[in-house]
Amino acid sequence: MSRPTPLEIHEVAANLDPEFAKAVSRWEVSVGEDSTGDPAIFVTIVFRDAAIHAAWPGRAAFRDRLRDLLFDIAPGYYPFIGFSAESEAINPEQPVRA
Amino acid sequence: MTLHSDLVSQAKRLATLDPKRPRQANLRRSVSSSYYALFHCLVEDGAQKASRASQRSPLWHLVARKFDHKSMRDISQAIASNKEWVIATQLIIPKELRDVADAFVVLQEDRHGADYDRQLRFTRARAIEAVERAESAIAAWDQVRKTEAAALYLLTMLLGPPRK
Repeated sequence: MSRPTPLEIHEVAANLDPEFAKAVSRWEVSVGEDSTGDPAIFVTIVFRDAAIHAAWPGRAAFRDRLRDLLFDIAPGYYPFIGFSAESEAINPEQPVRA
Repeated sequence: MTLHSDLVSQAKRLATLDPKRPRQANLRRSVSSSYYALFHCLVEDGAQKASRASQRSPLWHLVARKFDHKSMRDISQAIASNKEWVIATQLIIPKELRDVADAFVVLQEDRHGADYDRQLRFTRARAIEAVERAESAIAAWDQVRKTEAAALYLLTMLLGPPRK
């Protein structure tokens, strides 16, 4: 892969772990430069609010797998992988009581 | 308490303020503190290793001021992505050290966004992710800080990578 496209990266990320992907509301992917001007891939994984508490503990393992995969398929592009929630205020560590 | 553990506590506190509607200012300062927690953790060890002096010594402070954000990021990128010069050292790079290095790069980028990019909108989840990232990187660092690979990481931050 020379210059990866956001679509290619999206496909790789979304197909890496179908079970994990069920908790994802959307994958925000862009390819460009980081704040120092180096080539970079940005992936923000936005969890569905209803699924975030179950998926949160597994995110580090997923991130590590995706990071290593992106190092292999897009060398020279540093992968920035982050997580967020649909709602601004949701705390993934504190489930809301019904 | 060390400066870096205080910064982690501060980042957690700021990320969980305002339960219903978190303020961007608090979330942004939280993300920034998460980065600085890891930054100071590494500088503390790096200055000690390079100066062989305690934090009470002026020498320690002289060395600590020599750590700069860009060099630390460049070396962290090289360690995390196993660049050629890292492989050429023939040192075994533990997974924990790669995780520390990757966390450093990602947290620094987040910090730039939090401090300078007004277009970004931070969520509480994103701020909590940053503080947990810093916390787990500091824990991983504790596991590897006495290894040769960790010494390579810190000293190349000060001296630069080996010449080709």
